[in-house]
Amino acid sequence: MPPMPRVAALAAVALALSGCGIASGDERITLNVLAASSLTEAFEELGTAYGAAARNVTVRFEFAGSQDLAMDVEEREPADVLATADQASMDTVADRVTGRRAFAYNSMTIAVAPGNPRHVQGLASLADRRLRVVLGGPIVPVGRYAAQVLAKAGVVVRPRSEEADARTVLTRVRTGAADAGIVYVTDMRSAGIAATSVPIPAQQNVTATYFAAALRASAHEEAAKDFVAWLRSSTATAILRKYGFPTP
Amino acid sequence: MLVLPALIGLAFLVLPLLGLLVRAPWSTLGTRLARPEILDALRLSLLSATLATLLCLLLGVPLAWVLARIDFPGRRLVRALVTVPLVLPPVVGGVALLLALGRNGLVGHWLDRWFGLTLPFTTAGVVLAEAFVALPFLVISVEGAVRAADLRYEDAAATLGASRWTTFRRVTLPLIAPGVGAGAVLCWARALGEFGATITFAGNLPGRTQTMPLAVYLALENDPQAAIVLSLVLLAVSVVVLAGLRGRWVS
Amino acid sequence: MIDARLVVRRAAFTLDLALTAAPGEVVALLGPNGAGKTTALRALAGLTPLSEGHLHVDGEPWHDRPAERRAVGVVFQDYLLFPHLSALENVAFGPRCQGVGRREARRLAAEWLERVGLSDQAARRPRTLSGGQAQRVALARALAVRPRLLLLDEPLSALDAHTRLTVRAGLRRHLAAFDGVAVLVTHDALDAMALADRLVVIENGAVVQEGTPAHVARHPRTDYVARLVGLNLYRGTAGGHSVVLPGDAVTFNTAEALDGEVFLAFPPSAVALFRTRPDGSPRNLWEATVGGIEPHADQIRVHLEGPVPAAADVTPAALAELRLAEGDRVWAAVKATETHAYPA
Repeated sequence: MPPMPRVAALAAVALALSGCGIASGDERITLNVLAASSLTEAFEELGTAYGAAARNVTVRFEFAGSQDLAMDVEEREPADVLATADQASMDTVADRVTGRRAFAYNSMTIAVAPGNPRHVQGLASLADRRLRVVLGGPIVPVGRYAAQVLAKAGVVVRPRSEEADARTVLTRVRTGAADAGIVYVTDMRSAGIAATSVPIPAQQNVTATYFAAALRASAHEEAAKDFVAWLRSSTATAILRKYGFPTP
Repeated sequence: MLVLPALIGLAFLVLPLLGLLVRAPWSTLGTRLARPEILDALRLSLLSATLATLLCLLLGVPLAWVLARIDFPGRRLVRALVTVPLVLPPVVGGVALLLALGRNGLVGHWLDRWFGLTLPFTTAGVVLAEAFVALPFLVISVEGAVRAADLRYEDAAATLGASRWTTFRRVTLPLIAPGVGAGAVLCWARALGEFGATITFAGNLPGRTQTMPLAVYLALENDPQAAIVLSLVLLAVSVVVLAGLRGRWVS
Repeated sequence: MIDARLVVRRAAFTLDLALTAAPGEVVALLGPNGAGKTTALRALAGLTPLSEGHLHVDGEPWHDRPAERRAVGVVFQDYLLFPHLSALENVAFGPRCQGVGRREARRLAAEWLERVGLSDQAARRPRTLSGGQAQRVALARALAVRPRLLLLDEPLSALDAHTRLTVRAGLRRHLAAFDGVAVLVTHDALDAMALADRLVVIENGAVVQEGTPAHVARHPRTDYVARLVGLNLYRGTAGGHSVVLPGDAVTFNTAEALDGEVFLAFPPSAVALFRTRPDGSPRNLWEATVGGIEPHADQIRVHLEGPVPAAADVTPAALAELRLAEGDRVWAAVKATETHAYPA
């Protein structure tokens, strides 16, 4: 692989320098967790909580698009845990992970300008060619889910742009470049009053399932499995729900 | 004394390219290259880089001439402003373009309201983003050429009855042609490789705003092999064009 | 015809020059470097604005017209042929700017090239032309606009001595055929004498002498002109056939009978040198110190210092006989018939 201009590469160097390696007995362990970017806020709080629960473990996160993360696992990152926003990304690295389990759900919504000035009623409104719609690219989870949602509703949308991740889709709407975009429900929390959400009815919506798994290549496989299991604990589910993620 | 660092410098430039060549999926190259989305992205890249270069020529040559020839207060400041896109991270350039020409931007707002014209998400937006980052290369090169040109040829033209415009067109421009050519080549090369400002300002849609560098970036997420192929295509095209033009203009 | 008073003020220099010329006349502006010749030429062409004064050509005011609206042709010092155009295109440039059609302009240009004998070089780029050819293309280019005022800035200075001779002859012919006013700037006396009907000598931005080449050559009025024409020049007071130099240094017998302030001139070849004081008249005789000795054509030029500084030309044989060296004291004498006195 050629080197890529991304933060992940730098983080890998930082980890290598910090010397996370052999763990034994009561030695402190640093778990390196690769997580989907939509989990950013929730996982940061989870990390603090886990530090309190498992005293000898420090959790470090690396957030990126799920596809990126899967590739990191394949190509370079010496990580311990992987948390993706969809099953497909996890599937691509199935033989490198262990103890996979679903720990959260998400669903899609339509982001529009504050107060919905273009009167977007639902998915059907997005077919209007005069409406500037932006979606995720077909290869990133947020784009794949949007395609599924639109297919269910039988709506054909010609997007103005296919963005690389969910946050960029939302930014297009927030800045007014786009009139509407399909994003995760949880993303709308970060938008605050800068965008309004037009809900997608349950029968048209899809459920995005977040999976976590320990990586076989991890030097702390047990600790990694423990962390994955803990994501289903009451403490963890409470935090995830707080950030809008339904949990199993 | 100079040969060793020169060799290291060359290796530094060539090694990453070598990495690209070594890891290229040669066996499937043919079928990958024939895919329509690659040709779309390549066509769009060449078209937008060429249009951006033409736009830069149209605006940049007069700007360079003014900077070189007309003494006005604040000239140093203007010259510094011209080079801003060189130091600005391209993504920031893209954001700045959005703030100026986006749908709610300073000027974009009025463009939309008066003419129903919006630039983001259009090929015109790609051209603008590329021109924005590439313009300094042209202006700097042409300004140098204008400064170096012998003013007395313009005197000679005036005594032969040439108006200022005729003089500029038929005497000054041909005299600075090598500088303009070199600037245009640099400008085109920069526009061809443009990524940050383009994806930020114009977005990413195959066939419309997805140029080769954008296609490379997105393919990297999904299909690294395709990314290598795309990079090779971009590399080959730019090397061929630059080698052809540089030989002619920059000597 | 032209009638001009050209005033151009610069920080450390002022040009103030009155100039008139009749149709067909060739005027040479002659002067040392920095005298303001080129400034005057540029002012005539409209390339340098006048601070004051006027320029009328055939009765029309030109002084407020820009260069491109003056019917002027200029041959620049290093010709300034457009390097990206062929010889023919260079010559056609002016007619094209005057609105002549492309084909007609090329025909005119070809005609002019033929007139200067360069028909076979029409397609060549200027950098492939020899100096003499480039000069002729430049002349054709200047004449092709049918100027009423032709300006030539040091037209021969870029040429080697041999080419210069033939080009000068050609230039002379074309100037003779030209019916407008031609103004020629040069610091070379020979070019000026050979080409011009009238010399205007400029020093420090002002006219110091004016007249036909023959007159100026015989009657230099400044040291600069005297050096140019190769004469020793002095100022003195005349009384009848004698001229007394300032400080009573020497009294010269002269052929002319004059009174009052006069110039006295004689050529270096008229000076005879002696180791010891020659017998006879004390007139036209003075003692000097040898300041320098140098070859001059097939003679030896001896520079004399003292109350009457002068140049003396002697034959190599005479020099050997005299065994002169720098610093030696010698006696110098001039025959009265070889001196020339004229009113100052």
